[in-house]
Formats: sequence, structure tokens, C-alpha cells
Amino acid sequence: MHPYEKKIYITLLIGIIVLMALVVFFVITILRYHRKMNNLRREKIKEEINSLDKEKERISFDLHDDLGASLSGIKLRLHGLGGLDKVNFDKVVNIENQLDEVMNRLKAVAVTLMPRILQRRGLDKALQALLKEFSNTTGIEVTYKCTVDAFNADIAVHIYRIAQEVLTNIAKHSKASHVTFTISRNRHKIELNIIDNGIGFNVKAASRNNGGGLGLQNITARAELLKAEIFLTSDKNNGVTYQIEIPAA
Amino acid sequence: MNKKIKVIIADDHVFYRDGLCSTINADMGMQVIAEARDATQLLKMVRSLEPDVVVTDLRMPGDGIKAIQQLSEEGFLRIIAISSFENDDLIIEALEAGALGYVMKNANRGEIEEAIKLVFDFIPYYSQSTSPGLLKDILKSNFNPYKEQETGIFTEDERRITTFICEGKTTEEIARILFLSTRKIDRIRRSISKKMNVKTISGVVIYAVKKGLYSGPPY
Repeated sequence: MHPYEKKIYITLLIGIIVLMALVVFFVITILRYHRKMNNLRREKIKEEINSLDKEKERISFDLHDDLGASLSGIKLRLHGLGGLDKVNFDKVVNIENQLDEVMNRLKAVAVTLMPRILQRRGLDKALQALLKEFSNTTGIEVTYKCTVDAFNADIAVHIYRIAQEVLTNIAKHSKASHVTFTISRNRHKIELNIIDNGIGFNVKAASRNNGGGLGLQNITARAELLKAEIFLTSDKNNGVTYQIEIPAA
Repeated sequence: MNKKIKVIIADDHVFYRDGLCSTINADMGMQVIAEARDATQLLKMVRSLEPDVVVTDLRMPGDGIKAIQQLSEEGFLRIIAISSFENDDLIIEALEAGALGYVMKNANRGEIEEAIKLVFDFIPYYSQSTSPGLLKDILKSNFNPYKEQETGIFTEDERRITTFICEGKTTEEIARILFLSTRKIDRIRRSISKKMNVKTISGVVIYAVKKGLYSGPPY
């Protein structure tokens, strides 16, 4: 080989190596950047959801403790009214009943915002109460089974919120008559299964449509926070299955 | 006329204090002599004014439960706790700390006055709105206002029907089992409640379990 030829080859080789190194460097940088952006985005969603949850908790507390106590106080003042004739007494009792009604509604709003039962009694009891209420208001029958006895508090809030969103979806759109709700756990993950027997929906269209409605977006965001996987399956007139697998911490 | 029952109330919420005052003062047999905004004030007032009965909120500055604990350690026993529906475990804590009765914040007409009269006589009072869950928790708790195991005051019929009540049976069911009329069962039930000094089914169950009249699983 001519010495010049050799030199050219070596130069070429070095050039190729340098070029490859550059390409590898760029690819890694881009990937890193991408991952960083993704993490940032996830952090941002997490922050948003957490601050929203906090805000909800505060409003719930105010509604319940402050306004609730005020209404109870007013009711007690009515109890204390003396010297009423029969007609006026009946009117007062009527007002008391209306106050009770307002209080019940206020309580319902407060509970939806932040169920205290979740913090005090844990996820299982909170879900039982949620499903009972759901069943009472919608007339949809519910079968519930939970075989997990303890949850991390963070996970519990998100599972509860996901359950709320899913149930709202079911109540609004599904026309279902029955819902099966199960939570189970194996060594690696907690599995949440919610199955309705309603009219179903087009999963592909829903996910294409900018991640579905607000409800579905919320579910997806929370699932992402839990690093969970969601499997939505549905057929027309064959109900919907929401399957959510959360890695067990 | 008897002397009025002297009551001190404690709640951090001014509307609620106003309500408590007006409903209590409307009853000729009792009078609010002072209102506390927090636990510290309550303790001070009880020590200096020596009321007959204290009616206190549980969630207020300084912690209502700690105040109850302190008062009961100082020998003041006639305490009624007020709580909202969702705070079953706070009620349990209050009872274990020394409260002799509890009513819900959103009490029915006449309930608070009734509670005050009973607790004034050292008789426990359980809210009319006691949920099955709360009842279970009370049965499990260390709360026991009935010290002696004296149960000889009940007739054989009353004991049997008490057991049925504790099992959650209705008057109709009990009547069918015992081949008695529902009227007769109702009469015995009234007599049981009177002897136990309780107003509700929950009251019967708590009395029966705490006094050892009933030892099976309730409900």
C-alpha cells in the first residue's frame, strides 16, 4: 500500500470514529433531554395534582367545619325559640328540616372534595362508603372486593381519586346496571379492576381525542404519577373494563 | 322550684355557641353560666365557676379531648362531648378520656337538654344518631360508665329480650320467637330502657355489653 493511501485510510478512520462519537453524543444528549423533559412534565403534573388535592382538602374543611357548624348553630337557635303557637311552631320545624337538607348537601360536597374517612379509616372503608353512596344515588348495583389490607397513604389518595373519576364516568355515560370493583395485590403490583356492563365506548377514539375527556385525562395523569399502567378495554354494548396496575412500593 | 343546672359550654365557633346557649337557656331547668372559646379557657372557667355540667366541642384550640381528660382527672365527671358525624373516633377518644355522654353537632330538637339532664344525674347519654359503626367502636372501647356488675334488677323476660335486642332483632321478630304480642314486647322494652336509663337501642346494647348482660356478637 502506498504510504499516502495508508495515511488517507487512517485519517478517514479517525474521521469516521469522531463522527460516530459525535452522533452517539448527540443521541445521548437528546435522549437525556427528552427524559429530563418527561420527568419535569411528570413533576409538574404531580405538583398540580397535589396542590389541587390540598386545596380541595382546605375547602372541604371550611365547608364542613365552619359552614356546617354555623348552620347547626342556627338550627339550635331555632330550637331555643319559645312562646310559639302551633302554626308558627310548625313553620319553625319546617325551617329546621330545610336546614338539615342544606347541611346534608353541604356534607355531600365536602365529602366529595376530601373524604375524611380516607385519612381516618383507610382506603378500604373509604371505598366502601364511596361505592355505597354511588349505588344509592345511581341505582347501579356494585360488587366490591378488596383483599389488600394496608396502603401507603399517597397511593391511597390517588386510587380513591381514580375510583371517583371512573365511577363518575360510569354514572354519566355507561348506562350500566352493575359494576364490579376489586383490588388485589401480588408481590409486584396492586391491581385495580373496575368492570361495568354498560354500553361501552370506542377506546381508540377516546384516547385519540386528546387523551379523552377530562375524566379520562385525570385518570391517566394520576396513573402516571403512580407509575401505573392502565388497560382500557371496551366493546360496543359489552361494558368497559378499567384495569390499573400499580407497582407495589 | 329546683335550682337550675349550671352549664358551661365550650366551642371555638361563635354561631354554634350562640345556638347552644339559646337552646339550653330556653329550658327552664338549666342555664349557661359561661362560654369558653378554647380548652384553656374551659379549664379555667370550670375550676373557678364550678358548673354542674360541661358541654364541649372536641376539635377546638387546645384540644377538647385533652380538656376532658384533664377535667376527669380533677374529678369533674359530668361532661358531654359534641362532635360532627364523621368523627366517630374522636367520640371514642372523648368517652375514653372521661366524657359521660355525646351528642352530634347537628342534634335533634331537645336532645342536648335531655343529655344535660341525664348526665347531671351521672347517667350516660348516647346520641340518637349513633351509627352502627360507632356503636361497635364504643363496645370495643375502654369506655365503661357502669362500674358494678349489678344485673339483678332485670326479670327473666327482660334479660331474654335484651339479648334479642343486642342481636339486632326487631320487636316483631322477638314477638314471633317468644309467641307474645308486639304490645307486650314493647312494654317490656320500655321497662328495660327505664331500668337501664337509656333512650335508644344503642343505649340498651352498650349497657348490656358493658354490664356483662350480653356477651355474644352484637349485630
